[in-house]
Amino acid sequence: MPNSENTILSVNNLKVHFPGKRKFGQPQRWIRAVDGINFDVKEGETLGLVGESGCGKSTTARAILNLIHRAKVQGTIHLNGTRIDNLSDRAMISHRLTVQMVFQDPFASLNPRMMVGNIIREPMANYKLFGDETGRRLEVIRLMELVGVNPQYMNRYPHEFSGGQRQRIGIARALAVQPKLIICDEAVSALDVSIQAQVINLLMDLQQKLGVSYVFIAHDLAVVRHIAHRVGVMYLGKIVELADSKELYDSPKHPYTTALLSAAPVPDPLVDVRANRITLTGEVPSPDIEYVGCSFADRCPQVLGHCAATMPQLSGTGHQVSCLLYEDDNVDKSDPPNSNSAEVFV
Amino acid sequence: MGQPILQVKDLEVEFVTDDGIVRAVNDISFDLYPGETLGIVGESGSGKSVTNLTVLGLIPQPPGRVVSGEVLFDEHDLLELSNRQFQTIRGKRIAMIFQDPMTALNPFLSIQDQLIEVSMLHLGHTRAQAINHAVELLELVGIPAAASRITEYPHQFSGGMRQRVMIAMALSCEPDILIADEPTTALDVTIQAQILDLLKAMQDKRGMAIIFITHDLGVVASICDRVMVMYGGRKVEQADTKTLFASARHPYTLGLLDSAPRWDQPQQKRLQAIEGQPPDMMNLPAGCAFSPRCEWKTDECSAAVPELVSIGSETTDSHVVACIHADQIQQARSTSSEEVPHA
Repeated sequence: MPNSENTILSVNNLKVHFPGKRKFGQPQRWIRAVDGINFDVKEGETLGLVGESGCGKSTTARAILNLIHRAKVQGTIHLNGTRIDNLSDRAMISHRLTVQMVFQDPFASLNPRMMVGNIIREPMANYKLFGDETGRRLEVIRLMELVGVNPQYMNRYPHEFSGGQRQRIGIARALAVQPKLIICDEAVSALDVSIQAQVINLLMDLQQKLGVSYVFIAHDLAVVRHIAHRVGVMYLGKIVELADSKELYDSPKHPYTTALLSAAPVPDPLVDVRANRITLTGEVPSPDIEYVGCSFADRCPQVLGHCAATMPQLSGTGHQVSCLLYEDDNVDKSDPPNSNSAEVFV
Repeated sequence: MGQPILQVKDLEVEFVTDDGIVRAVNDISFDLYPGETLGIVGESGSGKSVTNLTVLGLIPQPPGRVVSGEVLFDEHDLLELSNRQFQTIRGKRIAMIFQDPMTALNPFLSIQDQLIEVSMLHLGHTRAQAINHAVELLELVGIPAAASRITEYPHQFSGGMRQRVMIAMALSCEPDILIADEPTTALDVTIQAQILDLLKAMQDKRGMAIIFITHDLGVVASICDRVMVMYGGRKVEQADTKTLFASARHPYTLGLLDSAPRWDQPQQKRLQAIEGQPPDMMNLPAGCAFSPRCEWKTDECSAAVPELVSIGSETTDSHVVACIHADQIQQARSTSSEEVPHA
């Protein structure tokens, strides 16, 4: 639970548009990877972002870290009260003390030529933290113990560790500068189930001990339910639904969320998932289309007549949803499923 | 269930590397019956894929070496076949879907060229017949505008579409056995659901047997009839899916079931992770390979590799487990579940 109401990260109307391949005689096309999203993260809170490949989860993560280059970035990102989206790489350096990242692939995100002790020590040395080399060495030992890797192994190289241990080392590196916010981009997806549980437990323990906030990006709905306090569901660069974890999983509102959950397998042969599955036709369209109305309209099982023409807005307090079915004044009177229910608390 | 279509008996496969011998598969036996789906679960490196690559004769030798065992299919031992003889079976009667649809297709050849090769080789189709056949298959697996898209190249297809092409290719000769090695791991859940439905529909239509390799217990629960659990290159437990989920006995299986979070249930306080790391296949622990991570470990566990014991009541091979503490575990589980009523 959030310890306080202090907002650590605030993202407002963020848009990231990458230039598409330019064809002769045709106007520049833009890949609308992230297309107007809003959310904030409080101190000690975990915000989960779920969605399918290409929905803009990772681009959002990279935008928060100001790591997007050669793209049109609009909107604002405030980190700990300071606007950071317009900072130069050099000016951003001091803010990287506040936000760090844990990457997806524990095999590619550690330098194979560095000993793991040095991998964890480097961020501290860059920011001249913990006094001198002796202080940093002690801190490396403390961090390795904290994440559950034997400090005796600090002179080993990444290839000598298993995937789960490498991910622990990646987490120790992210913790090295004592950040307030850690972005985890598919941080447990590459791990086996039993190891995945260890790393999830570690992340949750660290949050308890250190009060760190997470933006936890994953496509595994079960993992996100377990770790996140609030969850945002993304589709084609937009957040279509954002609510408390329990609220979202127990009573999803957006037709896309409902379909996504109904397709997720349950590890229990007695639950007949197939029976209430909503099968979406087709695949996620290309993100270079600019929609006038709802971008999910052409795949939506509950589509209304005016969906393709009217852009829904993420609205509601608490349980936010971006769907015309839940917008009071726009509901088509002839077909009113769940009308006037923008504020349903179950 | 009648006669098994495939029998793997006492299979042992090892790889000779510069650092030592990797004993990837130890003493694996299983039967596969027509029309059923057998799930194989286990961690990376537990020998799931090597077992099935051996069945298909796809283990590179050297460095691989089949030490012992038999793979009986159609009264032949597949391990005895020459490569030329194997080619009359592989792709025709036993087909495989590989894990990664992004790399399993040749990027230089059009979808058409890759699909017609199978039926021209095995079914003796002419090029025109083969193209017709390929278009039918693509329609079957749900690729829209198949007739025009067939001349496109893999990069023009999305991940889900490519996996459908792989399935179409595997189904081309209506195989008796389909081996699917993590066919949906790289895909999104909505696409995964479509692919699983497709496989199930194909199976109902043609009665083929499927070996489904996965580490996703959710997928196992939704598609498999029976499940074999592997750890450290050995079979540690096997049962029908319902029995396995309801009354697993091996501590590793129980650990796997407990460590997977569920999206359809309220958040648990803490996941029951299996402590420790998967075993080093070059240097397996003495006795039971799981013992260093096992909460039930006693001295006897390290003394000898536990035998697979049948604990099923009705038929002999319905539920087998390789753990000397299986009875105690069952008692402990049944008392604890009585004390704590199911939520």
